[in-house]
Parts: sequence; structure tokens; C-alpha cells
Amino acid sequence: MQLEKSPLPARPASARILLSTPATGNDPLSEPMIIFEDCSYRYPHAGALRPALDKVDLAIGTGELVAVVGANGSGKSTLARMANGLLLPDGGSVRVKGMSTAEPGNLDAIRETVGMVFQNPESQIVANSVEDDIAFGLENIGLPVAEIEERIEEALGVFGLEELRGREPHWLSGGQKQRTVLAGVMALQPGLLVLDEPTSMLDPRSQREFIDYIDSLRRDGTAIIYITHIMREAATADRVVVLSEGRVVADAGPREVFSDEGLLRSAGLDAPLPVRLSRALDAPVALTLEELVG
Amino acid sequence: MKLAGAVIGQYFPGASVVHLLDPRMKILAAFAYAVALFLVGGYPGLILMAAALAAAVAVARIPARWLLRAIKPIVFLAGFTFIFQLFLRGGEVLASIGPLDVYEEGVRHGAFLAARLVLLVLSSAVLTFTTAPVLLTDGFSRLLSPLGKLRLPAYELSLMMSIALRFIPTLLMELDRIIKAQKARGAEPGRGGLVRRARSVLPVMVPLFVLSFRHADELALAMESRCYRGGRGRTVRRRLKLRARDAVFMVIVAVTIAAALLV
Repeated sequence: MQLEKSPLPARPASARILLSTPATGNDPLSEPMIIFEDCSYRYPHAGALRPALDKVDLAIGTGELVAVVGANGSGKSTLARMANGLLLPDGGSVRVKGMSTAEPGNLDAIRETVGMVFQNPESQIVANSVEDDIAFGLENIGLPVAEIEERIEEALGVFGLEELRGREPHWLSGGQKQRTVLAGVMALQPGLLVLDEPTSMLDPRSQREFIDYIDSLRRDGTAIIYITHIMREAATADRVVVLSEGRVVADAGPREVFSDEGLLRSAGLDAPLPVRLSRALDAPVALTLEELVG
Repeated sequence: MKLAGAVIGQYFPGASVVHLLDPRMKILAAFAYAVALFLVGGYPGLILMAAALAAAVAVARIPARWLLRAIKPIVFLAGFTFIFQLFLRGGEVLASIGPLDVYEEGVRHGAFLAARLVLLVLSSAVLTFTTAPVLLTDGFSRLLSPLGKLRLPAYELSLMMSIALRFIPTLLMELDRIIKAQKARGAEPGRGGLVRRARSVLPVMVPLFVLSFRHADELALAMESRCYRGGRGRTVRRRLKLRARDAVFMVIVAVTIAAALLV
């Protein structure tokens, strides 16, 4: 994501996309960015045998990166769509910075706070050029033109898209499309970023760049919900939440979650490769290959 | 990139005067041109109109290849129009095909109608070739904005058009992929008799529709997540400004059309 390489020179605002919220770290006293409380949801259409989410309790603070893993149909995407009121819980509540998503008057403010990135970048680009797509959200919230231009420049710089600013979406590569989507979301300076399997359509190199960028965001204080089925990515999170049939069956550090073979098997998941290797070698659980070798 | 030969809504990048004209003026000119085509009574007027379009094409340096591709979809219709008119009575009999006589008047009239159709398609193609999609939608949006005062959703209309333009290449690429997937399974789309060809369209169109609905669904979620709430309270980022060249252009358009209607 060429983050460190291409910041805008000598522009005091250039770090704002990263420092959208004050870096309070994992201060247990501060109000969590988002709280899911006893949150349940059942899809209205026929054939929904069991609830997609079943009494989920979850709180995520600023600067926290929480990976959400689970088999297909475990409720991961439903959880993501609850975070900014795209779906409203049938039971329980979701509160962002204390604002309930059930209150229609809160939705504008909530959507400015919660940035969402979905799986397929192709269907998230609205406008006919990179620059205009970044502008889309900023125009929606009615910012003054001067500020919009400033934030566009900043986002183009952070995501290395300056050269591509006028490019039409169908001339972009998969990684460039994903960067455009992310630039459009980050230009709104969200305090919470929800990522729903964002790397599933990227090649390994773009995947690594993406993860590095997410990591730098976390360090700068953005709360992140990272939905993935790539266990290697989940292993880098502060916490791993395991969903199974709509219920939270584990919510702990990656080391603890990935050590629990029985838990993973019952949730239909595999441990990351280094964990399986260390298990096969009867060594202490290692989350990365470096850790295993060292 | 090969896109099934279609060029609808495609942009031919350039820096000519035609490219630089205000999109609103180009849209109005294209509209006036289309109306005038149907009001022009005879060949002199039509030839004048064709010459004007040819001038715009030359200034914009649009390659002939692009023009041919633009006409391709209507070749059949234009040809059919021409042939159908051939047997119109009037003037000398030029030739006899069995019991049918081809009259001079028929040839004249058929060619006129076919040429009118081709010019109509070419003029709108020149508009999209020389106007970036972004500016095209900006132009439409600004032209439609008085509708907002009548409580019609002007911004939403132009956004719909912009999204349609945005997804044409995407869907064409997906169409290409679907056809390849069908071919890999032994299908021969576009081959065989009329019935077989028509039937082979179905397995291509159904997945394409499913894909477009999926795009629509995901796009709606992404737009809502990025604070889309309609045109209300939205910043207008780019302002269009009329320049001297736009005034000159509109005068040329008006004079040409008046002349074409009067000759």
C-alpha cells in the first residue's frame, strides 16, 4: 500500500487519514467504539431455519484489531452489516460511540464513523474515475469543496493513486481497485473500520500490503473488525472472535484460540500453518513461521 | 481489451476542441442535431448535416474504426429500411426483380432514411467519444437540475446514468467471460440457425442478469455505507464554466441546423 513510501511532503494534514481518532490504545476505561449487546438476527426470507446471529455480545475499543473468523454461514457478514445499521438486530442492540443503530436519526452519524469495505472491489466503485470515487462519500456528507479536494489529495497520496486519479475503474487492476475502495472509505476518516473478507480477491503481494496498512491503522488508533477466513491473517489480530452458527464460541487472543484444537474443529476451522506445524513438532504453539524457527 | 466490439458509452481520450467543449453544450447540440435530422426535408439538408458531423469527427480525430464499430449494431436495421423502401412507386423503373419493380423514388427515399438513421447513431456516438463519462454525467446532471425545483429527483437521475455508464465495461467483460465458459463446455453461441442462435442466448443472458443483480445489491450497500442519502445536502464538487469557444460552437450549430432546414 506504499504507505510509508509516499506520504505527502510537508502537508500538516497528511497524516489525518491515519490519525482519524486519537490514539488512546486499548484503554479499558474509554468507551468502546462499538458494542454488540445480546444481538440476534434472523433473515426474513423463508428457509432461515436458525438465526444468523444468536445473542452476540462483543465490544471493540479504539486501536483494537479484532479478527472475526468462522465457517461459511456462521454469521460473519451479518455481524459486519449490523455494525453500521445496514441490518438492524431483531433482539438486543448495536451501539456505535454510544449511538444505537436502531434510532434512524443516528444513522448518518454512525455511517460517518463506521467505514465498510466489502469483498468485491468491483461493485463498490460508484464513480467513473478514481478521484471521483474518492469524492463520492465526501460529497454525500456535504463537506465544503476545499476540504473535499484536500482530503482527495491526501487519500491519493496515502494509497499511491496519484498517477491513476483520472483512470476509469475498468482500467484498474484488482489491487488498484481495492486501494481505490479503501481510499474512498478512509477519506471519510472513520473511527471504526469493518472489513468483510477484503483480501479474498487480491494476489498474495497485495494481500500482504493490505495487512501492513491495516496494522498501521490500528497503531494509529482506528478500531478494526476484520472478517476473514484466512487464518494466517487472523493470527496478527489483537483478538480473535470465532463465530459458529451465529454464536460467539470464542473471544480471546490468537494464541489461545488457535491452541484449542477441539474448538477450531467444532467451528469448522483450521489452525494457521505455523500452529499446525508446531503441533506436529510437539513444539510450543507458534503463530508465525519466524516464531517457530526462532 | 476486446469488448465484444461494442463502443456504446465509450470514451476516446483526446485534447481537441471538440473534447474541451462544455459537456452541457455538446449534449444540447446532439439533441438539437437529432431533432433536426427528422425535420430535414431533402438531400441538400441531409448532406449539410453529414458534413457538419464529419467536420466534428475530423477535428476530434476519431478513427474511422471507431465510427464503424458504432454503426455495426444498426447495419441490419439500416439495410432493411433501405430494401423495404426500394419498391416504393414513383419515377422511373430502374430494375425488375421477378414480379417486383424497383423505382427511382424508392432508391432515393430508402437511401435517405438509411442515411438519417446512420447519422443519428453517429452523432450520439461522437458525443460519448469526445466527452469523458464523468463530464457527460456532470453535464446531464446540470441540465436536469431545473427538474429538482419541480421536486423531480434530478441528482438521482444523473447518478443512475453515471452508474449505468460505469458498469457497461464491467458487464461486457463479464459477458465475455461467460461466453468463454460456455464455449469451454462445448456451447457454440452465435452459430447455427436462427432458432439455435436465439436459444444459445439464454444460457449467456441468465448468468449475466444474476451477476448484474449481485453488483446492484453490493453497490447499494457500499453506497449506503458511504453516507449516500440522495441529492439532499450534497456538495457539488465540480462547477462547469462556459467559455467563449462554447458560444462559438453553439452559434455554428444553430447556423448549420437553420441552413439544413432551409435549403
